Order: sequence, then structure tokens, then C-alpha cells
Amino acid sequence: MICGVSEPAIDLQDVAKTYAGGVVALRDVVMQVQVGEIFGLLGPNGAGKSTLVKILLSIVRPTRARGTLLGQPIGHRSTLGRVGYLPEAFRFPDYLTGAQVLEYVGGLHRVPRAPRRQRASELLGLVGLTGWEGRPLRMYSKGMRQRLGLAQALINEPALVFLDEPTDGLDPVGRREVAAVLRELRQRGITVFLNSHLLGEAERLCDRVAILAQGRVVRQGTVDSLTSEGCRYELRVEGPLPGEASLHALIASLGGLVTFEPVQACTRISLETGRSQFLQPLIDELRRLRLTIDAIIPQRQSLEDFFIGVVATTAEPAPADPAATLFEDPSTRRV
Amino acid sequence: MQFAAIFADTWRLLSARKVFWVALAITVLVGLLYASLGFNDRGFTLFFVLEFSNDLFFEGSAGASALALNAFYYITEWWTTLFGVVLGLVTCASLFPDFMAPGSIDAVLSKPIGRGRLFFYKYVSGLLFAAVLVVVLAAMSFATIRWRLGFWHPAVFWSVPLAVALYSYLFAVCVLFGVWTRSALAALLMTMLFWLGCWGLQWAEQLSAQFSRTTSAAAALTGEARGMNKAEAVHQIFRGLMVVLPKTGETTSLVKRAVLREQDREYLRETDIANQVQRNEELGKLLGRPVESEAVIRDRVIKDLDAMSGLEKSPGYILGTSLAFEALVLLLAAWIFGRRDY
Repeated sequence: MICGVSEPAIDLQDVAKTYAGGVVALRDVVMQVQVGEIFGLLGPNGAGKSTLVKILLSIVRPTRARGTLLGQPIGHRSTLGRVGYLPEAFRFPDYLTGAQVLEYVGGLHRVPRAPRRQRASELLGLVGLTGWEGRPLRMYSKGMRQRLGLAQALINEPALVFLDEPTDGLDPVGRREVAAVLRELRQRGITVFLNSHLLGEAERLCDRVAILAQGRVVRQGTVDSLTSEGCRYELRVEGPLPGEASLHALIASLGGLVTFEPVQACTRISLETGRSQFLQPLIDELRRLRLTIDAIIPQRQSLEDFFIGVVATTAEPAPADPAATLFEDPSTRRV
Repeated sequence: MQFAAIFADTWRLLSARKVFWVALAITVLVGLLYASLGFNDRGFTLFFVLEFSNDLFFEGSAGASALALNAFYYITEWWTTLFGVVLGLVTCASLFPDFMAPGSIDAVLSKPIGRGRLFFYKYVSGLLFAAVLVVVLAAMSFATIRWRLGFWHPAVFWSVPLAVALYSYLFAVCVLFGVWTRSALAALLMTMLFWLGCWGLQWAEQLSAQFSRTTSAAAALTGEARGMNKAEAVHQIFRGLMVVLPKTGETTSLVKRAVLREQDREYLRETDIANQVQRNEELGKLLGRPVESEAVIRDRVIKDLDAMSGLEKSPGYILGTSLAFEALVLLLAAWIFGRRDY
């Protein structure tokens, strides 16, 4: 373990970046990434995800950067020797072979020659490129290049690895293999910082995520805690709801959290909260009225639903843009 | 270790480009051509089969070594420091623009290496093209001189640092424009324009110096002083401009200074003076009166030769001012490279 247990791998207190011309890419970014976790940075295009990663890796100069990376201030050069990075649109010249790419990157990381070669061989095996090490990159498919990119990010046995769209260009099998590699890294205690547009992938892989919108971290937490925020229950009851005053009084007392609609021979009742204590009196009342409850289905929103909801609420109002209605979250509708 | 990685990467880049191997093959051919210049007791030979009878250049004569060493200088001047430099710039103009391309620069800047050092390592490794060509030519010529003239002449290896220095002045300009514009084509065009400008200024300076001496000699004969002052003033303007610019031609002429031994230089000078005196006598016969005395011709020829070969300026001045210019250009390029967000 390179960092202390209590010390985060990344601890950002205040990061800001304003590009020339006054374009604000990041403002007041506060974020923590714990050691050994897979952390996902999510956000729409132009949210500042790549800028943030590049600031942490000294590729972009910050306007303000208060925080630490593996216990050292951001911009500390030697610390980058313990960090791996797969850039978005990873590109090396076509005439290089896979082994030469790993040798070059290993050399820049000051990995001694003998362990570099041994490590390169292991990594090529890990990403499924054994036998391809001597072939030039022009013979590689896009997916193979991406896997080689993953291998080069690990050549220095990093404590922290940044992966910008690591599954870009990979087929489903390749994606699954990369996911397995990332889980393997987590098992080895390596912190993985994942920058991905693929929310399903992030949901499956990440322990914690942060959502970046308009240059700010608008939400961060475990995937469970974030997706359970929009959790609701759906009940299916046989037949229509009776007009009992006590039932409607209960529904009214729940403050508009309950909606209902007839669906074929049933009634679908939606309780727009994940807190089960609100569910109990409703069940009791339905049972008292001798209604048959067909199903009680807890419904948790996906990370994608949560993401779209958060981004929509953060977005600047743009009433003239009809696409804005796409971000309307149906779960927020009330009866 | 980091330098070795960057150096190896640049070598791979060069070896992946056909123009590098073509240039190397031509260099070997030029080296073989030089090796074909031989001497026997009747004269000299070329291409191993052609024989030319000559009273001045034959085996063991003073003219033979002067001719062979002067030939080496001209080969270096025309092939290594002209065509070699052009090919080197064409090949390496994209070095920095490619290096700074998205997806490529990110992977390098995220490593534990400072931007200044990274820039410097990449720049130095970019000199590899010129270095390889000139080392091959110098090594072949070194062996040839031993074979043809019978003595080891390690001074030919002075051509290596001098030719690389010349290439480095221009490559620095190429790097500056490459870093600034991120376009290999723009960098190449601007460098060629700059080189042309330097060459033009240097040519103008030498010409104005020669003109100044001639007008001064003429003025001394006629007693007029105004013409002399004007010519000298023009010369001083060109000279002033040349102080800050890299001395490409004069750096090449340093190869001649380093390679030619004193006896070879003297032989060539005396041959030149003898030719001019002979021409002068022929002209005097036509005019019916002597035009210039031998002493005046000698003095003028020596000054002209010194000016043309840069001998009137010290190597320290030529290299020092040129390298100072290069250092300034590189500092500016490194500053742009270091300050930029990628």
C-alpha cells in the first residue's frame, strides 16, 4: 500500500481552470478518490472531465489547484512515476511494434530494462496480445490498439491509473475483458480512475462515481447511494381502487408521493420514494380493504437515469431548445 | 534512461522513413566517389578506371593532398551541409508537430519528466539525422585519405560537429515554427525562407566587403574618398545584421579551415595568386602598361580568400554568435512548448 489507509489517492480541495479567452472549464472542483477503488468520472461532453484528468497529470496547467495526488501536491513530477494513463484517442506511430511502445513508455517511467521487458511480456498476456508484440501497430485493429494502450498504462506498476474511455472501440467481448482487467487491478489494490461515457459500464464497474457538469462536481458517492436516491415502489392491485375515504385520505397524507393508474384489469400504484416506512400504511390499508396485491416491486433508477436527471437540473435553462425536453425526468411527475 | 527512450524512439522514426535510407545510400555513394579519387606517378584517377595525366596533381605531390582534402571539403559542403541538411529538415520537420499531436503528447507529458527536459531531449535526438550522415561520410573519407594519401588525417572528423552545428541552427528554427504552428509544412517553409535570408545576407556581406576593398584600392589610385566611405558603410550594415544571425556559410567554411593543413592551404593560395598574376600580365600586355603589382595582387587575393572562407573571423565568433542565436530560438520554442495546454 503506497498511501496511508486514511489518505485518499486523490484529494481535491479546489481545482479551477479558465482557458485563454475566458472559457471556464472547471470551477471549485472538490473530489476524493479512495485507495483501491474504481472511481468513475461522469459528465456530458464539455463538462471538463478530460481537463480535470489532464490537470492531475500535468498535461494542462491549472488556474488553481489545491489538493493532493498520492499524497503529494498536484503537479509533483516524481509522483507521476506511480501513475499510469491511457489517454482518450491513444495514438502511437504506426511503425512501432507493441513491444517498442511498452519499451518506450517504460523508459520514460525510468523502469529498468530487464524488469521492463518482463513486465511488458506479462502485460501483453494480460490484455490478450501475446504473439503480437513484434508486429507494427499498423497491423493492429482499433480494439487491439486500445488494449495495448491499457498495457502501456500499467508498465510502471502504478498505484493509480487513469483510463480515459478505455473500452472505446472494443467489441462486447473486448469490453468484458477490459472490465475483468480493471477488477483484477482493484483486487491488487490499484486505484482506477475511469473517465467514461458508458454509464452502464461505469455502473457495473465503479465503486464510486462523481458527476461533473458545467465544470463543477455536482454529485459524488457510491453508485448504490446515488441510484437509490430515486428509488420508488410499484404495487399492482387487482381491479380498480375503491372510493373509500380512508384510502384517499391516506394517499393525500403522503403528500403527493402516490400516483395510480389503471392498467388492464389491475391498478398500478406508484410510491415515489425509496423509504419503506411510507409503504407500510399503504399495504395495511389495501389489505384492510381486502384488495389483492399482485406485486410489490422496488424500482431503483439506473445510473443513466440518475445522471440524466442530475445533468438536466444542472443545465442552464434553454427553453428555445426542444432537445431540452429530452432531459425531463418522468419520475418527477406528480399527480 | 529517459533520454535513451526518446533517442531510441527518434531512431525508430528515422529508420521508418525511406528518405533517411535514401539519404544514407547517397552518402555512401558519395563516400565511394571520393574514394575513387586516386593518384599515380602520371596524374590522378577517378572512378577507379579513368586516368588523367597532370603535372600538378600526381602521387606524392603537394597538389595531390591539397586536391584530395579540398575535395573532401567540397563534398562536405555540397552533400552534407546542403542536400543533407535539406533532407534532414524535410524528414524531421514533423518531429515536433507529430510529437505534440493529441493522444501522443498526453501519453508523454503524463510521465515523470519535466517539459523543459523533454523538449531538450527531443530536440537533441532530432539532430540524429544529420549526425548519422556526416559520421558515415567522415569515416569513409578518413579511410580514403589513409589509403590514397598515405597518412591518417583525423581532422576530417571536425566535419561532424561542424555540420551538426550548422544543421542544428536551422533545425532550431524549424522546431520553433513547428512548436508554434504545429504544422510540419509551415515549419519547413519558414525554415527554408530563413535559411535563404541568412544565405543572402551572408553573400551580400561578403560581396560588399570585396566591393569595399576594390573601391578603396581604386580611390587610393584616384585620390577620391567618398566612394570608399559609402561602400564601407553598406558593408558595415550587412556585417551588423550578420552578427545576430547564424553564420551558416561560415560554419561550413570552418570545415575547410579544420581539414586543410597549413601546407595545403598555402599551396592552394599560391596557385590562386600565380593564376591571377598570369592573368594580370596578359591584361597588362593588352593595355600596354602594368595593371597591378604582384604584391597588390597577393594582398587582395589573400584578403578575398580569407573573406570567402571566413578566415577573417575567429571560429569562436562564428560558432559563438551562431549558437547564441540557436539558444535564444530554442528558449523561445521551449517556452511555447512548456506553457501550452494540450
